Amino acid sequence: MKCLLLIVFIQVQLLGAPGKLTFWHSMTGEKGKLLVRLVEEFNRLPENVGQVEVLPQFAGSYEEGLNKIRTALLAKQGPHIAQITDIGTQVMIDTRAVAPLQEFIDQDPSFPLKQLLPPIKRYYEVNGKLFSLPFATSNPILYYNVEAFEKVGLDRPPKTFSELKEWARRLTDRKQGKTGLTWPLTSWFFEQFIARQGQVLVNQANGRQARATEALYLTPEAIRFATLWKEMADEGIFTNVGRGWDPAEANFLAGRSAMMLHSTSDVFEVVRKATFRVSTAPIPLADGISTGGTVVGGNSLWILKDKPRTEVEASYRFVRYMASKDVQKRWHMGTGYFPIREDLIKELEREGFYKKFPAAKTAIEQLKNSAVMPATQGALMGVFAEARDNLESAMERILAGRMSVEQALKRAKFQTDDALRRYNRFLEKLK
Amino acid sequence: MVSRFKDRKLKQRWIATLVLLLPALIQVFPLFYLLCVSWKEGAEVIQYPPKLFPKAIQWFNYHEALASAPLLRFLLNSAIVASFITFCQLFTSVLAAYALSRLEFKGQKWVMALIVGTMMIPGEVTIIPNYFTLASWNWLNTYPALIVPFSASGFGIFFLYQFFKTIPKELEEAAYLEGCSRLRFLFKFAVPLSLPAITAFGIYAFVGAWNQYLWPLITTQTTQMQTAQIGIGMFRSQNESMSWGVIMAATAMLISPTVLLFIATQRQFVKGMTMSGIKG
Amino acid sequence: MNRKSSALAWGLLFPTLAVLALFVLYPAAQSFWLSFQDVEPFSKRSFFVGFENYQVLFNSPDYWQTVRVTLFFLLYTVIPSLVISLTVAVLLDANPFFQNMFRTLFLLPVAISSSMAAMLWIFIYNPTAGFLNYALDVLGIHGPNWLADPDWALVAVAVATVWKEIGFNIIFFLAGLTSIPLELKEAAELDGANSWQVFRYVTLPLLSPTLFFVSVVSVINSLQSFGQIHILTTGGPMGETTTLVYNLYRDAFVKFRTGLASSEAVILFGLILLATMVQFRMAKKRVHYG
Repeated sequence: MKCLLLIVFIQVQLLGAPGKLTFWHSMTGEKGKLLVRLVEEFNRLPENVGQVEVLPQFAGSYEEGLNKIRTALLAKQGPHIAQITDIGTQVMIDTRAVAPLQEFIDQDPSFPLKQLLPPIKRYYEVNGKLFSLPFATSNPILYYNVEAFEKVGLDRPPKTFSELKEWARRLTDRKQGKTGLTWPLTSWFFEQFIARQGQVLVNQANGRQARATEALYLTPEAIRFATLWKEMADEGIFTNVGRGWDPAEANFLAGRSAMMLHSTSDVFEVVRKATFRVSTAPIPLADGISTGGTVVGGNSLWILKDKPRTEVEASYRFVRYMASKDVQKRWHMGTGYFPIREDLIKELEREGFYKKFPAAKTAIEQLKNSAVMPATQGALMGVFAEARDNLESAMERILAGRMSVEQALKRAKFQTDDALRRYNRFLEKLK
Repeated sequence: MVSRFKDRKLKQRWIATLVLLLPALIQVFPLFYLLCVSWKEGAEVIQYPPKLFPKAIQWFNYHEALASAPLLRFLLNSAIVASFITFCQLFTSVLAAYALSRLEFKGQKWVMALIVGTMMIPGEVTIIPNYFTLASWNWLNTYPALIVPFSASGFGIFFLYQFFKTIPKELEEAAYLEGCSRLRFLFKFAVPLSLPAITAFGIYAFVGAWNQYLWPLITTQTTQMQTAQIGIGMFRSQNESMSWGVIMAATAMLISPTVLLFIATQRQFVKGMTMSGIKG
Repeated sequence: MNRKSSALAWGLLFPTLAVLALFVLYPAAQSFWLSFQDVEPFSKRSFFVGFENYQVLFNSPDYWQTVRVTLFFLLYTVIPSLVISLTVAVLLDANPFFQNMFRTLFLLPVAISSSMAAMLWIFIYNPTAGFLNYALDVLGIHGPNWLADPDWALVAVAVATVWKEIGFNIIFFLAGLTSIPLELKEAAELDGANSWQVFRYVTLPLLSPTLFFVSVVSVINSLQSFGQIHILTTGGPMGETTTLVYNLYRDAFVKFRTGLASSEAVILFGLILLATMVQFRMAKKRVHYG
């Protein structure tokens, strides 16, 4: 009898207690605040009160977050939902602990799959399956100081590599310690400019047809961009501010560099903070090459599967909520990450939002104009973080004049190929 | 002769004061700068050429920092965790140091070597195995998970060992003749005698515990359990630009408990260290 | 009596040994074992590979670079922090005016963690908005981009480290200095020794045990530096600030090469042990116990 009572009690407990869903994220500052607010609103929806509660937790930087989740999954202690950086896609799939978003969408016609911008969807689709929800997506754009442009008689942004160089040269004022151009030393721009020229970053069609086994760092496209970077730095028309996103922005906002390559995700912040007029433009093309395009960056939301079914389903409902038009609208307007939904872009256009903030439109146009090809789908590899580190070290060696472009890229390629080989070997062992 | 000696002393005092001035300024500058930046508004922080002083002492960055992250909760967690770690480390270290320094038993040397050896093991090595241990006990996301793995300290034992060694043998023997037991001697005589050193080590342990980052980041699973050091990570971003004024305000709030504690207890701390008479 | 004493001793040691065994020695032993294994990145399964991990390290120029960086970091942090803190301690001991205020100022960084200290310095080093380069500009010097320049990054990290470390060292030196009998110094002065001679022939020899203790602790601390590197440079540029510990962290937590990271841990432990033993050896010859 006692036993029976106990069982009944436990059953009631299970049914009655609101399911608490842990949600690990990596958003900081303003973006973190907005994210937490969106989660709280989900919890307050009438259908969720007393039923589901999502508990957001800051899991450290993208890198630390990925490390935290990988450690947790080894001990089967993962969260319900995780926000993971774009380059963690392959690793997350390889953990075999995720429930692909596609499986839920297939059961749920109400999911706005048709509204997702195709280039964004293509990035997170692996073997035809959409694995995670592209929540925060970004793109590189060129920011420029309109007043500095006017001062030297430039009336439009540069469109090609040679124009970029020419513009930067004209905007450089050595006496005042001002240069024409800056951007953060990150592999992201390297990857983007290779895609912009229609070239893939790794073999096997960017790791999309089969597991990548080779990094293509020695293609003419890669060498062309690295050489451009090096030449502009040597000429003193480009300021190398080092790794990290912040110093470049500080340099640009202080008026010390007239142009900056940066992510669109800071567009509102840059416009707000600048004491001069700021405009944005698509990133320049290599001379004579018009194929290719940019790759989406940012992060996506993953659903983890080793949880009770009701909780996994609730996780999906949360993810679907994060894709809703209202949430996406506020996220876009509050951050600069761009909207993932076609209907939302149309709505904002109707409301005249982009007339007020034309700078926010650039990235959307740029992405829409990108060619549909493996190069712009973005590379997949399980060792992406390591690959980035290798490439950034290579660029540092090039810019410091310690190695030639070819030497340094060859070294990075060798290191990345080795990492790929090691990673793939283990996955074969698993089979 | 004597007055010349005194003159020389006075001259020495002046020289010492003047020479100390510059390094003292350098030493305090980062903290001063921290406060200045925390009082600046966005555009002021990044303007070039930079100005050292803010336009006015303003607190909006502090409000902003408090609104962006549950810093008070984080501070509370840090206080709880650091206090318990300090208490546990003091407790275990006093007992162990006493056993090693005043009692005789087989294998004493080996135990001492083992304990000193643990000081040399890089902490990063222990994170993943300890994570699995605690996960298997279902301890993740609890205070004990943040406390228990750090409840003993090789450094603490090594440090207190040096001190207990200096307690005169005669005192101990006299106490035993009076019928005092060994444990009683420890708590009646050894501990009170070494209170300054124990205080000193306590502060050291508290600061160390307060400052942990990687372990609490990995083992906590809700915001309610996170500690102050993680709070700073919520402002410092590697992927976007940063609001330096807010970061510096948050940093100021997060270091102030230990800094104030240190200023308040500084005399005991220095006295404790001084009295421990470290001879290597 | 003796048996009772020994039982009591083990009883008193029990809590410490239990904690250290479970949370330090067991993981350390596991690392030692894993250093001969290749560990799968997505499971806890591993395969015995003998000395392969060690071979990979010894044949890797990058690993040798981290060894070099670590040695330079040791040089840039331990020696300046010893010299500066000893000097400051001697001056503080010379009874300057505002002694208490000076002492508080110098000891304050003790209360700040290495990662928080790094937060203070990262903005000072900022090439655009930071005060350091602006101050240098005013002096007519064009400062490098400290944290991004391969020639300066390690120095910049070392400066932040020394800033934080000297507080502790000063405390130890003050402790040592106050324990030196004043009469000894005065006697030397009356014999006509100047201040330097008093320091060199009276103070320094009597301070040698403290100097020894501080240098052992400084070397161990320096070899284990992590927080400031993680925040200031994440090991860059060109790996010029990647020390052995930081490389271990990256291999273990970013690259998930547990076996390799374990063998790095074993090597690091061996190096720290070696450094400590060398210091003990030198101490036997040079340190004068009172």
